Amino acid sequence: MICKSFDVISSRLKVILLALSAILFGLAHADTLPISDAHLHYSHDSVEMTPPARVIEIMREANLKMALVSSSDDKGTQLLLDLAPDLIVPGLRPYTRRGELGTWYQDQANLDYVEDLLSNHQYATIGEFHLYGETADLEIPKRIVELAAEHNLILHAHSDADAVESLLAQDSNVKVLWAHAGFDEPEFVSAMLSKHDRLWVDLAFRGEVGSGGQLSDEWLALFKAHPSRIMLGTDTYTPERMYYIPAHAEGARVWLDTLPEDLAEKIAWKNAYDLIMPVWKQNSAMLESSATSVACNETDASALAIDDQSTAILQPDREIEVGEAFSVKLTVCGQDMDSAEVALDATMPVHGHGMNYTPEQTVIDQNPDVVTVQFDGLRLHMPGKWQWQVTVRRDGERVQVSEEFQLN
Amino acid sequence: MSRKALGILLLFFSLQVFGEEIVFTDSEKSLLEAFTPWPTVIPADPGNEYSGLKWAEALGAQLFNDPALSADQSISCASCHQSSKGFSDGFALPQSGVAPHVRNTQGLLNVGYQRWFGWDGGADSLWAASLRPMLSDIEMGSDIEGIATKLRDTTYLTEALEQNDLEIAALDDETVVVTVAKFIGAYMRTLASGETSFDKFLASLGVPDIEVRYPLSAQRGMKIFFGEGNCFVCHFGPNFSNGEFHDIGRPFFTGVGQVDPGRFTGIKRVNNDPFSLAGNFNGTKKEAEILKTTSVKFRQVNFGQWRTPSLRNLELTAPYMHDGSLQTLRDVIDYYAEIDPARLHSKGETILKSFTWSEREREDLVMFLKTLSEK
Repeated sequence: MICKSFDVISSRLKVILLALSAILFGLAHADTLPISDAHLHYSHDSVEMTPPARVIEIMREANLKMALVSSSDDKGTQLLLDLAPDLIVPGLRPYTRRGELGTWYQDQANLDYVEDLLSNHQYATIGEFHLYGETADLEIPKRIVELAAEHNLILHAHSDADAVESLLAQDSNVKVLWAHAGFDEPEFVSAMLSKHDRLWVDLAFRGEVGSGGQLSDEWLALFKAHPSRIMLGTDTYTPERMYYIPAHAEGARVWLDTLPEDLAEKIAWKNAYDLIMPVWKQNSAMLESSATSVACNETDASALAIDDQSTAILQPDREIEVGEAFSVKLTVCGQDMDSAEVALDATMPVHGHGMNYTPEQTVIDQNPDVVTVQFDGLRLHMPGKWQWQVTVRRDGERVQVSEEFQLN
Repeated sequence: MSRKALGILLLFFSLQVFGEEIVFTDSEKSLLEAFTPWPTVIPADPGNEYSGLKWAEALGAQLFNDPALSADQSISCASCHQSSKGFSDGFALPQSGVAPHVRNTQGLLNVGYQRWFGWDGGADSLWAASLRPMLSDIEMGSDIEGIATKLRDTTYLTEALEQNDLEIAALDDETVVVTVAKFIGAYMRTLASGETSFDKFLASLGVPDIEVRYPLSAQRGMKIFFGEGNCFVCHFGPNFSNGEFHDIGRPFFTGVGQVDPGRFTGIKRVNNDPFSLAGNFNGTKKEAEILKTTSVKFRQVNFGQWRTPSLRNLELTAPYMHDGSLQTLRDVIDYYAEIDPARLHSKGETILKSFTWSEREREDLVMFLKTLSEK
């Protein structure tokens, strides 16, 4: 009896202790400056040495808010992304194995590998890749820049200044995250950042930054001159360094603590988060959209009933944002669709108007069962309640249906 | 003591004793995220192959200040777009052009964030917008041949072109002038403003232990701006402009029997502009950028619409509205508060309505707008 009571007390104590430790763990993290780590790899040899669940655990121990991971090969990145989509942002490294960093830019196989991955996955960055001087102007790196522009990707370049400038010049919108701040002196990095507003830097493997817990005047000047362009990174270039992630974060917090609070927060996590996360959100939304394959014989909860026998499915190519151009694929399933004409419009009934643009439309597929039309150049220029209007003309009849949605 | 006076006195004392605290709800904070980050990267000038190149930007800055671009060589772009006034001129209507103008000089800070350029959006790129005043009969009064002739003798230009492997003698007159307009466009893209007290306050919202001094009056104004005023719907995004066109009921007569129909003219201008993105001078030929120009819809409602201006650095660019007819920010707030519904079409911008804002609420809105300026 006594033993039984003791067991009950013991198990209750365990529950209380677990709850307390969870609270204490949470409290500890509440006081710990979050870190966005913008330079992580989980390559083939790391995958063999440390299971992905343990890697995520390590990252959470370090109180990472965001982890930009690119790996040779890509499998490691995808394993982590599957486990922790709230934490992991995938980068596409153009290497299948460690050790390709000096050959990749001349090897068509690496380019094919990149294009293959892009057709199956979404990313926020291409990199980290290695390019120096004139190698940035070779055909394969040029194609990488084109792909970055086409797929809304930031270039993560381990490069010298010449190569960075070449990459920036190849496309007037492409953004570059300069790995290791180019291993250049802070004064020079500052000049580069002043010169190029599409350039950011990570401080991975820059041991001199905050060495001994103190920042030199030169680094401090750089941070104050460009408070929104600097971010942190561990660089897990060997399997062992996966375990360095918390120590790196902790070390960074020591010198970050010497900075004004808002500047410390920016470098610790906000700069990386503000640069990379919007890109990832947009690209991952495209993934969700394309993943929803439309087949007329499948029941789709989001389908819009046109009439008793036909339905419409709308697939935006990305998360719709106020003022940003986007495309929509409209699929109408039914009978006699080979003679059907379909139209799509978006209006704001409460405001008494719709879009200021007439989207360009292209028929992708049309047969007796289905018509699929791509609409390009849609732009919803105000937040609020919008309404899709789908019109189907068939056999002299016109049916229009609408569906409301909120845009914020 | 009247009941109203007693109420005001009680409110005053309660604020003194307990302190006023403005609380922003989660949904307000979520909305405010759409107004960050600032500053942010300005997109490249569409169709401009020189956009983002430092040498082109520097050359553009020189050309922007060069009176050689005007017919009588008396005025430059900077004559009306003065940096000390946020690149506007402080007048209701421009005083420097070769003939009377009917539109207020727009400030150019952050202009690179816009999608269309000019009050009517008559240009679809910064370089096309740079060409228009040069060739306008009422602004700089030049023509292609005249400008090109002068530019061919402009030493700083020819030298800079040579340094960058461009030979002016090999270019025809039209290409010379377009190239120069692209340099100016590259420069205009760099005209950006920095962080304001509003941006700092926004960054501090929801972050524990960070306190930013932001006037309570501005916070109250902010509540109205993002709340019942619905101002944010058009003045949307980090640059406080949705980049599109609206009719807010301002008159647009420019004289007896003469009107300036705004966007209606702008679309026609773009459609007929040989220097638009759909034309041969587009140097980058990006399909998505061209689609903006080719897909723009021409509608009756365009008659009397004007581009939503950015609200950043407003304090530098008075007077306000497309014709400079409102002198102060308070005038602007009063106009919106007392908007005449009879001026608005029933199928027009139904979001507009009058308000019974008190004196304090109007001043709060003005205070909020002032915090969008750099100090």
